[in-house]
Amino acid sequence: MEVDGRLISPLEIAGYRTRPDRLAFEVSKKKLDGIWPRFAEHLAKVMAREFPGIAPVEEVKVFKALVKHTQSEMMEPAGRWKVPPLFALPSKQRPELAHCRLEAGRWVTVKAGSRGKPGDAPPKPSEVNPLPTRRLALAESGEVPSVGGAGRQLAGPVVRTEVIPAPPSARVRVRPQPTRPTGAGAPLRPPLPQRSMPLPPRLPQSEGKGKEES
Amino acid sequence: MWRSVRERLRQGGRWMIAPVDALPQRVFECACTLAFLAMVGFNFWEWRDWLTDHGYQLTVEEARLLGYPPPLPTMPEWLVPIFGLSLLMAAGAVMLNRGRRLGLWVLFFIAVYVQAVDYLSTSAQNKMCIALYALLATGPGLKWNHDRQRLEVSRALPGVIMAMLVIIYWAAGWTKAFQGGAWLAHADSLKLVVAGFHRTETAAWALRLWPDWVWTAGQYGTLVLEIGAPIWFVWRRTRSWALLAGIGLHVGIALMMRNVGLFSLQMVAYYPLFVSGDAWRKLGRWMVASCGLVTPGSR
Repeated sequence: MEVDGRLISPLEIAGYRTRPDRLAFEVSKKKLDGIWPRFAEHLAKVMAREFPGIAPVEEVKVFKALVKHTQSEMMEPAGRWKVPPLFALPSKQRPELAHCRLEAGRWVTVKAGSRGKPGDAPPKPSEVNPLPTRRLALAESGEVPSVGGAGRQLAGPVVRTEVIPAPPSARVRVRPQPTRPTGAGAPLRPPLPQRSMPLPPRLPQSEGKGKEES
Repeated sequence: MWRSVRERLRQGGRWMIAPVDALPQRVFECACTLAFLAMVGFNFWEWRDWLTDHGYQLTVEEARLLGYPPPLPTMPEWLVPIFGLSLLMAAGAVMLNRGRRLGLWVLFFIAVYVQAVDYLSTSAQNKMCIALYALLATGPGLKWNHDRQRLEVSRALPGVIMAMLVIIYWAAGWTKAFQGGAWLAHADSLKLVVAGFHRTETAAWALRLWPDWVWTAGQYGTLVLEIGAPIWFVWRRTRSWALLAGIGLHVGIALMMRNVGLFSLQMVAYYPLFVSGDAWRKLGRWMVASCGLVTPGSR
């Protein structure tokens, strides 16, 4: 799932940004990746509180979304600032800041981000959960569901967080996903099922619907 | 000759601390407090996230790594209404000039707490408020002059605050022009800033409609106003034009940049200091006559 900073911290700061955006900016500037595990832990708690129906979060990836000023939608914009869905951006414009995982009840950094410490080791193949790969593939095809501010995008460079719930076999049995069209005709963000994955209570329903139309 | 220099210095010192009409400063205090209330009130919409452990807060170690001083502790939920009430009472004391000094100290400590409890959500506006309330709380008090029938204050206090505004503008302009802001090197810098993550619907409309030369003119106009602030705001003949231009600049910022409007309000709150007490009295009389309102400090 793609989660924006508003779900983690709804308090806004200057521009269309929240505190996690500023945190991401400062941490990436000073290369302090040790901060992310506690951030991931907090995010997992928020997800469990806001979406009690979903499986517990076991992995968190933090991305920075970069939007070029030279793009035409920047210079002649249709409306206020909005960051496009994370996986609609080219991979160069969404560097991964951190990848954290819950291991033995403790959140640890699996891989430092592209702006991380040079000494951090890359993940071993055995550590790679097949689920992220599957989810990334789904994401590339535009099938990653978004929650928490789906219609209220943040400013860039901003933090975007992908939370990866536990594999289906771990705790919760998940119904097979219906096949969705792929390619240009595929919707970027399919409508969210209201009961299992509602929008956070602080965001009006119309905000979430607005994103679907865009 | 040395005696003459000393005499001149003494005269200058006397001029600096001579009592002047306090009405501009009273209007400034009220405007500044309103802007501070607006800023803190805005954050209060998310008080649980902002002031309590419910939200994501930096630990002491994380704050140290990020280069901040140790954060102050968050408060339990039952304390938040008391905090809010203290803020309102202190603001009321300052604005009504009843227990003003105590109110200023309370506002100072609130500004310090707001800064230190959550560094990630604070801005330049709050830092400015800390400095202003420290100055006002420790500065010379207001005295009633029976002969002139008005409140008076030492010229030094409003003088320092006016100098603060001029220095802020000058430093902002200098940074934009010469310290990496690149506003002199590129004609579209302002347009790029407005198009970025601050962009409101109004800004988007302006970006679609206005030709490039309007943005370039606005960019250089801003630089002229800011870098030239020591001249425009100090010289009496240009002061009223500078105030008008400054109001235009801040209204533009408030309309086009998301969540920067309160900072604009804070900056415009300095402007009453540059208007004479007599002008404020005239305005007060006009308001009393037309709306039944009273200006702060009038008795």
